[in-house]
Amino acid sequence: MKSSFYLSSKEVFLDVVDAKEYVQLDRVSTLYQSLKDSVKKPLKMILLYGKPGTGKSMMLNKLYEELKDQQKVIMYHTPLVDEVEFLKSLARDIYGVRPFEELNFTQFNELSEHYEFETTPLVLLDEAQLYSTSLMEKIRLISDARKIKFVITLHKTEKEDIIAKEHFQTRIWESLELHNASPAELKIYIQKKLMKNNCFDVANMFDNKNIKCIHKLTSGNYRDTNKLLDSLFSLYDWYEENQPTKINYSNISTKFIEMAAIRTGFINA
Amino acid sequence: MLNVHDLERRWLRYKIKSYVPHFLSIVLLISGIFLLFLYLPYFKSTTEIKTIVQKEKNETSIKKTILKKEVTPLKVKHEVQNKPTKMEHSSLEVPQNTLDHVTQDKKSLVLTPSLHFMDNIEDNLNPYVDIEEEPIVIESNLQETQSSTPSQVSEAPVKSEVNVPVQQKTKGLSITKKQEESDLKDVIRRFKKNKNPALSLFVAKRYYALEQYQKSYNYALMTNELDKNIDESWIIFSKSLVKLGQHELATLTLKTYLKNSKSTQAEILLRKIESGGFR
Repeated sequence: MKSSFYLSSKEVFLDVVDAKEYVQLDRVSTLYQSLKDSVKKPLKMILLYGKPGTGKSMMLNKLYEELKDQQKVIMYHTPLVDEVEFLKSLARDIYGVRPFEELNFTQFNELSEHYEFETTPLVLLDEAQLYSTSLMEKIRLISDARKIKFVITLHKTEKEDIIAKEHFQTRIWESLELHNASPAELKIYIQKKLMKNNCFDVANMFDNKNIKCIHKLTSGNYRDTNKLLDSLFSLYDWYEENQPTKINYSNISTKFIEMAAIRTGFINA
Repeated sequence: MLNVHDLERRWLRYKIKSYVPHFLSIVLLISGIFLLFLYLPYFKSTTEIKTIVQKEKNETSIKKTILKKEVTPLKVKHEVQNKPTKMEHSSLEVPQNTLDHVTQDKKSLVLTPSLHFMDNIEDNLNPYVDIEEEPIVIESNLQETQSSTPSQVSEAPVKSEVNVPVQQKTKGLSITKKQEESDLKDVIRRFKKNKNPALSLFVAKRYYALEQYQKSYNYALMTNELDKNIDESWIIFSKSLVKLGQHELATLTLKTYLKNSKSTQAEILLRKIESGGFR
């Protein structure tokens, strides 16, 4: 049934960080390979940065999913702002120790001295710009001791660049920047995502004109594209139920894309 | 909640808004093209006028330079045109510099062989002077010219002889005269239309024959302006000057002309004027 077809297409673009939904694109694939290579090197800290919605969290998640069976990998999606809580979480997740009392930085270092791993444990910290300055300093000192390896992601804004300069400039050995998609990459992204979920008919409805329109509205940002397409397929679902004569089944309507953009706020009308 | 109707309305508003700049630019473009076509002929005509004016300016400047080269004839022309009344009374004021030229020319005059043997041929060279019609003209102009140039009448014994039969044929001759005048007017009218030097020369000769020397001088002058290489025109011009009492100017004109021309007729006339054979 066509109506459910649009609904399932809508679900494809729900903004959820799921490694299974990760779409391999030429540029992203190269970056991901670079990240994997960097992890294998004896580096203390790896920085993954880019504008919001460029796929940092998704890449980090993908890395976690791929490495979790090979080595000790811990991923923190939400930042642990409290220092004690952060150290206690590290002690628990890496060394399997559950300290009843408060764990300070010195105690954590003493604890880490008792444990040796074949491969240095890897900690993936998403949204690192939310960590306090003092905690970032502690993370730097832990990585300097070479007991834990950190991969952190940062939003690339002017303010966050300053943080990066202050705390990581001399510590980071590798930094990778993620960018928005080009129109060609965006087309592959949309069609691959749809085809992964067996929405072949809908994937074929996207032509270059539609992609150009979507790219113009979202600037190739993956999160914005997901948001726009979610709204677009909601509209298609509504028309399918109420006014099916208005639907052109061979192509995605530019009118509907623009209506979805108005709804999501990409067009101010 | 998905409010598609409101969304469609907002989309329509957005589309209208987005088309407004395009529409305005098209309107501006069309109006621009329209204005261009409207004013293009005007600009063209003004530029054409400018070029024509420029051309005319150039032409006049060229003419001026040419005329400057012909120093003496030009001065004679201007003098005569500016002061025609004075010329009629044979008290023409010749500018000092032209007189200087005349004296200079006199000083540098070189004697050349006499060409008196050509005198007999001279009459044949002026086909427009109709002897049969001449008496009629003399009769009509005699009263006018007698006071100013009485010597001329006395100098033409042949003419007085011819006068006798003319008086006998008064009625018939007056008819031909009218016809002749109308013909002359017709030629003048044609000349004014097409500015043909042949016509102005014809008129000059006719007026000379009618002893209206001021007019013949004017038409010869016009002919010279149109074509400066017509011998007959210069001869009529010089002859008219002599008849108007400007012997010196006539000789000067002929001498200047002979510098650029090898006209035998002009040479003969010059000698005749200098020797007093032509008055």
